[in-house]
Amino acid sequence: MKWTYTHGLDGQDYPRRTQEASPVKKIQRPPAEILYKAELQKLKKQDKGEKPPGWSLSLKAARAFILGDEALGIEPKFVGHPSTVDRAMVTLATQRGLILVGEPGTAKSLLSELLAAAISGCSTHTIQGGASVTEDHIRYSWNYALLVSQGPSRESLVPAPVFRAMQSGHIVRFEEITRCPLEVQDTLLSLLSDRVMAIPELAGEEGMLFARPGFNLIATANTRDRGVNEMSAALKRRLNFESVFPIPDFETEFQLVKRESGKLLKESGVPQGVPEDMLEVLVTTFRELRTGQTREGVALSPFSTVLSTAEAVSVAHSAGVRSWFLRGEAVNAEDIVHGLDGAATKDDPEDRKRLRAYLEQTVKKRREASWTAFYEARHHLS
Amino acid sequence: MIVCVVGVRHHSPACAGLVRHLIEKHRPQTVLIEGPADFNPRIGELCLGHRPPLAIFSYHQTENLYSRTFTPFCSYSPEWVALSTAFELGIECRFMDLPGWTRPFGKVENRYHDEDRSREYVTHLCHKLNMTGMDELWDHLFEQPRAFSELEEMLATYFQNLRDCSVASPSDLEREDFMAAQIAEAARKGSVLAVCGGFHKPALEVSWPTFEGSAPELPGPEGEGRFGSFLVPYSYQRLDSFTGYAAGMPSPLYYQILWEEGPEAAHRRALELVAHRLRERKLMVSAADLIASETMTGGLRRLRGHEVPTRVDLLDGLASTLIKHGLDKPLPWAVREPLTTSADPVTVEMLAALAGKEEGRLAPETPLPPLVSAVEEELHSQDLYPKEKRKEVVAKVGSETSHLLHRLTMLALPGFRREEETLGKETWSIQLSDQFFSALVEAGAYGATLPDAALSRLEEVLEKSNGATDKLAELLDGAFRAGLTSFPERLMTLLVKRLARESELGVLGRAGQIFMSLWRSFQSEELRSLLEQFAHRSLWLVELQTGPKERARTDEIRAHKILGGCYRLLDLDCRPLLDLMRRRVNEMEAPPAHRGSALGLLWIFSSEDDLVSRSISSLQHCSQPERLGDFLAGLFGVAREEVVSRREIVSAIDEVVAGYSESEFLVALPALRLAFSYFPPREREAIARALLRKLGAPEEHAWSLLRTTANPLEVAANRKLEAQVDTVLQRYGLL
Repeated sequence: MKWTYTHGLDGQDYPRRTQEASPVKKIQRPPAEILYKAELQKLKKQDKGEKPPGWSLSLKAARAFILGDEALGIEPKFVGHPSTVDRAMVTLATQRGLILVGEPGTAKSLLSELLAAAISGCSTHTIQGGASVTEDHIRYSWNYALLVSQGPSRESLVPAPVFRAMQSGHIVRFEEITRCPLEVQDTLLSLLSDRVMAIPELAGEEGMLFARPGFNLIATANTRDRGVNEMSAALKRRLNFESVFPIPDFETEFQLVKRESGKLLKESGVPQGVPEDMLEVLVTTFRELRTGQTREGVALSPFSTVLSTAEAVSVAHSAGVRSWFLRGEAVNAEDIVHGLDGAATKDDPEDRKRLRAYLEQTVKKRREASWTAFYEARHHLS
Repeated sequence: MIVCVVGVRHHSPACAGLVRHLIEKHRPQTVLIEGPADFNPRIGELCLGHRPPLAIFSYHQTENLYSRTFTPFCSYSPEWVALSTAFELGIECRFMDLPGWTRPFGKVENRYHDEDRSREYVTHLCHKLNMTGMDELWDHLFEQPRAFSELEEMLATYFQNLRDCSVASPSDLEREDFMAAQIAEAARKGSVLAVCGGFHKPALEVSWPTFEGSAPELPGPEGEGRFGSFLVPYSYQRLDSFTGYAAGMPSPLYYQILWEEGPEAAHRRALELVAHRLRERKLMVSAADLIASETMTGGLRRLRGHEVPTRVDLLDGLASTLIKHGLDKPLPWAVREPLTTSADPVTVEMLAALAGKEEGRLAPETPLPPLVSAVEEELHSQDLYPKEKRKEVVAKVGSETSHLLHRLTMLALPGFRREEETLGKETWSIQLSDQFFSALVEAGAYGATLPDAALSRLEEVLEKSNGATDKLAELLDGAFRAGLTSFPERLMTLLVKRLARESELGVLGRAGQIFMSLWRSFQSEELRSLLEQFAHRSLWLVELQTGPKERARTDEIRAHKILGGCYRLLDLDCRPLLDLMRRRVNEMEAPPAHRGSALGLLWIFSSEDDLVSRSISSLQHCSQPERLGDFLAGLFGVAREEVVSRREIVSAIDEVVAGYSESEFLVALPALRLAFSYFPPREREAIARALLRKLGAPEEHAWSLLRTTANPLEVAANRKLEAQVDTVLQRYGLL
């Protein structure tokens, strides 16, 4: 059986690439440094630029890894402004941490993973933020059996991601940092400013862990979670903010949705992709509802539900699966409306009303066949 | 050298340096510059010792057409540097392009605006070099310290590719023919150095040697009318591309320092300017932040391979360290868009610091602008010059005199005041002082004739306004009153766009009111389409308004009323309106006032028989004390006459209110007051009569019900006493 894998919104042809590397076959979702091992090795070999202390690649090579380099045969993995990547990398080479902020589904985590893989060759020192995260998940905890039998020692200490990253001089990733309580976030304060972790339970030299060169932090936070937990001014001061935006132009987003949904459908055993005219309706609808502006220049009420590119891919995927397994034919407008109904109206019942108003007032006026069909299918909105 | 064509990007310091170097090196006999050739006889006026930025203002006005073009210069414009170097070295210097009133400049406001040519080529280069936009790309390629020969070669390649990847418009070709002829003509007399936009360079180099015959004569404007060119002061604010108006390069002050003091000083001074400005505006910038930003800028500079930091390196460094939250839009220098009101304040202030506030000043001996004589002439012809100290004038709205006076006030010239307006007639008081004349000379920068100047001023106000729909509508009102018939399309287009995006029903209503009053005096297709757009947008906004507990807002009620008025005035098909209103009356989630207004609109437009029973049933739906007043306010605000003439409805309201307990009534009272304030006293009296009739009481007491003779304070004190007595009685079980 062929191994297939889909990863984020980066447009890679993974099956072909990953078949060469044998360890990958056994992993369901390999991290970037394994997935792109060959590319990273190639870049490292050719890299003549100066490297910041502790970095495995120079900034230019890391940029080529993320944004692609035709001459070297490195494919682009992140679609966005190149200056975003520039600023992110330079931040990581300084004494400040980096926080990527943006709407959900704008590939923040992908960018953070790629940065960590390019800089440290390791993207797995990761903390997933949440209400239940405590200081132990960030710094270290204890193996209690050993602690009771031996007392506090290096052996009984269980290092958490930040500990490991400091020790090895790697990047640590903190996903959804604002989902953690404020006091837990503030654990990072002294780690970021002094770059040292005190372990009061251990005596002597072992009581202090000094970060090795190359250690830094990439946090991500999504703007929809603004209200979940605030971030202290002290921590903000130690981080540089980088905003990540949805894909700016239609064509790029359309191609990405087409490619990614095609891959997913193939994996799900559906032999055909979503027809282009239906995809165009889907992507246009997502873009218009997301930006709150139609192509005719009319403003719409902003949606509370997130309409990311990733979500569009998932709607296209579900529409494809629905049409194939229920009717054995290609996707039609009805499938798209069903998909939208579930995906675009998750958070707020008001969004269903907005979607209905969009169909009734905006879509109604469009004369193309696909749009008329979309309008006709509006009754399937629950 | 016989002919050397130097391609430049307008307002690029690097190109300015190259132009100066080449003129000094080659010492040509003639320097030709892309600029209005009609100004050649007065080209000497440009070296009178002005302080840039300044511009040559060209205009052409006929009865139905008005066009104008600015040719702006700042101290680092290659064209300005070519002029001043030529003057210094005593070289003959001329403009070689078509005048601003010719066809190719039809709608071009700024001759040197930064054209968006060959987006494909620029995107391709950006992609290849990992740059985000045109400005970053340009600074990366050309504004770095380089030897002149290297710069010349790079520019040549860049412009050649730019030309090869794009199609020249007929206007470009027409201008290039004219410029090639000028070069060929000058080349017959000796060596020539021609400075032109880089896009034209490859074409001019090919075409001038093939030109035969004598140079064409300077074309006059098409059609009759006034035309001419003169010098006006300009400002950095107008030049800055972030203000979005016929713009040149971004951040003019930054580039001025770059030109005068070099890249390192520009970086240092820019950082100072930004820090100073942010602190002045009370935005926190610590020394640690500045150090971090310098580190960032340094890192970005090395990564991007710059010898000295560019403007974007600096801005990126500052943005990374100073912005402490997520942004809603990409940074403005990455997408090159005019700043909007929602932009991040730190970014706005940073860009304002780099744009500078510099305004140009003309030398005192520059000839007076033509506006001065034009205004004096007009005032005399309308007999508006006050012979005594003060004069009072009555003018009909839309008359010549009214137009003139409105235009003068639009230019903020002191001494003209509109006292009042009744029945289509305005009363003005005129009192002229010395300040009037000095203000008039300054206003000369806006244009050559009064309508033209008023128009420019209008556009300037438009630029400075934050683009709110109702403010734009006010501007439109001003434009109509001033009789500016060649009225800026831009404002109309902007209004149509703004209307389509307006999200506040109240604001929309205010704008609609202005359009309606304009429509009554000046009916036109454009106004009709604005009103239709207003109606369309209002339907959309009304549909989505929710909030069953929302209090009534008078502006939203007015918007409903105006919506109805608009349908009636334009005789629009009212079916969509009625469908929506029927839905809204029954919508539980709608604000009560909206439900009332929807019912009011049904009363106005619908011919259904069951309106009375429908009204009574919706009244009962909204009969809770906290909703009743709001519902009625909505209803009365839209259709008070239609509703109150029906006795059944008045008595239904009476029954609801009579059923309230004292505390419920107090809850309902404020909103009820608002609802009944829509009635003038006479109608209120009629309601009182109807109620008395219903109760069987003598109707002549109606008037006394509306006005109590007792002192309200005494009434309140007595009620308080009564309440205390009730409490005591209750305590002893006597009540």
